[in-house]
Amino acid sequence: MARNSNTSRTQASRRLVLSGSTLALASLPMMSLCSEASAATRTTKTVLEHHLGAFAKGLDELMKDYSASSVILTHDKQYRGLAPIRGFFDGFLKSVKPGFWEAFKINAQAIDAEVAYLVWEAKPFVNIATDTLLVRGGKIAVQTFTAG
Amino acid sequence: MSDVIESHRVRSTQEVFAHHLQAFSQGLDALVSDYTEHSSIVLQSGTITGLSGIRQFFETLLKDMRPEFWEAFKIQRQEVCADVAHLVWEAKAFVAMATDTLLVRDGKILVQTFTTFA
Repeated sequence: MARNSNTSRTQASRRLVLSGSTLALASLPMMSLCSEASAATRTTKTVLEHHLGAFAKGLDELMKDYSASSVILTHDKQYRGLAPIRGFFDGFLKSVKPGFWEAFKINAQAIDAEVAYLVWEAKPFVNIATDTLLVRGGKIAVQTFTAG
Repeated sequence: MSDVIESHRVRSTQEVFAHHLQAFSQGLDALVSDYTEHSSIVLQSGTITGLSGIRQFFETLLKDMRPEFWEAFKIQRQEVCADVAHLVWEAKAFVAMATDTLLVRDGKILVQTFTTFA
């Protein structure tokens, strides 16, 4: 798996996300996949942007970035496979309170080869949180999520 | 500086992860031995790529660490999933909470993301 070593902070996409508060959801808490899907390969950046934009569209849209082998690792649990991951996002979407998305703000965003990195906040709901996505075959293979 | 065993086969994600944690007590050379010229450390403040930058990063980190830091150091969560390792830790009074995600390839850390929570 060749690694194109462009280490870029995607300012443009950050602006895009910030400009539409509903788009922001993407980086929330938890999705990870250990997948090796092999569709038309979407880039790491494309997958990250889709993930962020999918929160405004709902659960089915969110799930498009995952496969049966995807894994989400959090500070206390592991969600492995589509059903657990769907359950995770379902719980998250249901728990979102009014004002969350207005408060959602990306503090840092970077892409390095197949890894996407995000630091965000949604005060007072989430003080600070970070996601790392490993993208393979156009899907999120593994996602780590930690909120502080 | 890698030992004989390491030079004869590719280390697993778990082994690299364990070595990374141990290396803090062994010093800069041990720490840097888990990385290659293609490795990146992704931080809130930017991305560091390559051995020289990574060495500098850890050199600063080690200089800033007081002995009390390690007494306060506590792992909250540690998990390996295929070639990814996830760590959540704290060193109260110094670091309220922090998390690392390591992507391991060919027995080395290819990409590491690191975030501290104030």
